[in-house]
Amino acid sequence: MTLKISAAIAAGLLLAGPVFADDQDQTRTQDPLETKDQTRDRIQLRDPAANGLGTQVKQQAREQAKGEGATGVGDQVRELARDQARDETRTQARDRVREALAEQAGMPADHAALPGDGAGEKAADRHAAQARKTETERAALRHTGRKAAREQMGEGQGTGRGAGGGRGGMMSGSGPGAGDCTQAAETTRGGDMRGTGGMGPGGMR
Amino acid sequence: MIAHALALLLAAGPASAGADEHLLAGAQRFREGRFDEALVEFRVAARLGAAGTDPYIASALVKLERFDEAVELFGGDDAPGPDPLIDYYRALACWGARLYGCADRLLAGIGDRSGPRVAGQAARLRALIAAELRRQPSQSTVDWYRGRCADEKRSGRAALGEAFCREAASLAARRGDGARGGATAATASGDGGGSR
Repeated sequence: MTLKISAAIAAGLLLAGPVFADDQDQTRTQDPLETKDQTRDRIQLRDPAANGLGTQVKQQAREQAKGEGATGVGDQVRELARDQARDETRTQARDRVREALAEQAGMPADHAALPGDGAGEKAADRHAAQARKTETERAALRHTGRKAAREQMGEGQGTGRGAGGGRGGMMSGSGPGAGDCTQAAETTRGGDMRGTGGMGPGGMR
Repeated sequence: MIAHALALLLAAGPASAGADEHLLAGAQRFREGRFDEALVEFRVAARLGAAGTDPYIASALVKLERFDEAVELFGGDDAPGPDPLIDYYRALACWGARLYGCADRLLAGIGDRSGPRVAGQAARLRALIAAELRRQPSQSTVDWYRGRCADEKRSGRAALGEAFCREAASLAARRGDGARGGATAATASGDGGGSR
């Protein structure tokens, strides 16, 4: 009986030996500059029942994301950042528009002239003349645009084709030609009106 | 071409986040004096959900000398608004549409609320209007405004029509025939003065 008990104790001591040895090793490798908090963290990390700090944060974020009606911290932060960026862009856009409006806030070039009397009729005549001039310019520009497109197409298809090639060029070129021409005419009209007529009723209407 | 671009942009779907980018682009075009392009950008921004773009669109219309459309979009009102710079553009729209009373009231409201340049311009424009309105308006002038009043209301531009009605009434009052104004406006055939 006594022998049996002694053998069990001896076996227990043999099994526990390496464990004590491990503990000694750990004690030896501990950083002498390590703070108390760091030690606690390290111990917590080694505890098989406890997760690491990163794991805990991730776990918390996951739980929050899973909650009903709640979004994760990351989502909330991202949403806030997006809102703020959107507000900034909006404010910036409106500021830019106001700056542009202020920059272009010019004077009308023409005098005030009541319609229905001499001055008004003259103004109306000027306007009609201006409108005719503008229309003529636009027509000329349309023509020029088509002609340019036709010539370009003619060159592209080879000079040997003669008149037939030219006509084909006109047909296929009329789309983009007309578009460019219209835009050019708009630009020209804008520039001309601003330059000669200004904003007043006499030149404009 | 512009209409094509607009259609393509709108076909891209509702993306309100892009509205501000179009506002920014509109501001840039406006600054460069490319008012037709600025107008398109502002309109696209409005379609994409940007709020309060009407004054910007109307200002672009003013620069494109489409004064009647601008007055209609500004609302035709001549009471000063919160932004003196926008009020200046409203006044320019009225000026261009020959609504000098409207322009004068808006310019008077600008006063010292704006920067020195716009305030100076407003003062000069008011002096020009005062010089023109110093003499008594002719009957044909009053009739012209009454005609436009009837015309614009008939064509569905209520705000612009109302602005012409107010102008006619104001000028008629200065002639001392204000009582006749209402009846004439109501029955005006709407010749429009031949200036449109």
